[in-house]
Formats: sequence, C-alpha cells, structure tokens
Amino acid sequence: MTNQFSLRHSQILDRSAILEVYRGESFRLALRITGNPTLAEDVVQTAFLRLLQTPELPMLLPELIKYVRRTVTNCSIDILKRQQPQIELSESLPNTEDPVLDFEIRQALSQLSVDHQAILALAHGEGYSYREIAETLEIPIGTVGSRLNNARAEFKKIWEAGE
Amino acid sequence: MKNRDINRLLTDHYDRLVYTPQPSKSEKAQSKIIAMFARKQLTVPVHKAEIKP
Repeated sequence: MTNQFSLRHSQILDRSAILEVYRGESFRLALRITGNPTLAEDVVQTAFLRLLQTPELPMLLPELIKYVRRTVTNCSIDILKRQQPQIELSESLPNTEDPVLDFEIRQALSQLSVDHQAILALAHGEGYSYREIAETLEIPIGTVGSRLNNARAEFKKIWEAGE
Repeated sequence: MKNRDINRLLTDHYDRLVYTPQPSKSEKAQSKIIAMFARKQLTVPVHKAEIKP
C-alpha cells in the first residue's frame, strides 16, 4: 500500500515537472481563446489538474504536445460556454500596444459562438495548420475550412456593422 | 473591408495579446474611462463659449 502510494506520488511529481514546460504556451493559447488573463489562468489550472489525473498520458513528445493543446482548448471552450450567458466585458482595456482597438476587436469576437472564437484563435493566433486545428478540436479536416470561413465571415459582418 | 484586411486585423490582434503584468488601480481606472469613450457611453461636454470661430 505504501509502495503504491509512493509510486503514484512520484508519477504525479514527474508529470508535474514535464507539464510545467508547457505552462507558458498553454497560458498563451488560453489567453488568445478567452481574451481574459484571469480566465486564462483558471483554464491552465483546470487543464493541468485534468492532465495530472489522466490515467495514461501519451509518452511520445509530439503526441503529448497535441494532448496538452487539446486539453487546454477544451477547457477554454468549456469556461467560455459556462460564462457566456452572464458574460460581461471587462471595463478595463486590455494591456496591449493598441488597447482601444483590441478592446473593440474583443467586443466583436465575444459576439461569435464559442466554437468560432476558438477556431479563429487557433488559426490566426497560434498559426496552426488545418491538420493541427482538426486534431486540436477533434473535427474532420474538411470541417476546419468551412468553420474557419464562417467564423471570419461572421466576424467581418459584426466588425463592419460596428464601424 | 477586404477579407485579407480582416485576416490581418485578427492576426495582429492575437499577436498583441500576450501576457503583461496587471496594471495598477489608477491605470485600471484610467483605462475604464477610455473604454467608456470607446463604446461612446461618454462624451466630452463642450461649452459653447469655448468654441472659437
């Protein structure tokens, strides 16, 4: 019993050390999807807890990276869906080089569906290929193109209406 | 607006969206006011006497 516990405990420590390498990238991904640093921190905490508790994490590095990305993206989508009915845009401007423009873009993005917000962040923010987007969102590669076009078209409509 | 301009607008937005330390309370208050201007909830009252031809 003691051995079992110590083994599990050491496994968790090992995993924690490995996952720590991806914390920065995970936070950036969550921030680009949610647009909110506080929510992004919550996403990373939730995602890493989930990853630590997953019985079998992929052993190969490329597979592990994909798994981490998928988990962070799913957690970001979950948190946005939970928040959406009562979502209120932050009163403060984002801390960026062009805060007013970024505030207006974020307002327009927040009117899109969560799936559209996510795919735009993966394509334009992270620069993922169609294949990487398909793997991250677990959708067919053929769906990526159409969903991305719809998301861009919807954003364009909202943006131009606000101009 | 052309599609490629929309794509550029989005890409530039995400590029600027990187983690930076949280602003102080006074900076937050200032940015809140600017945000309200951006949403046209506030306007600057201009006294007629101040307008010169």
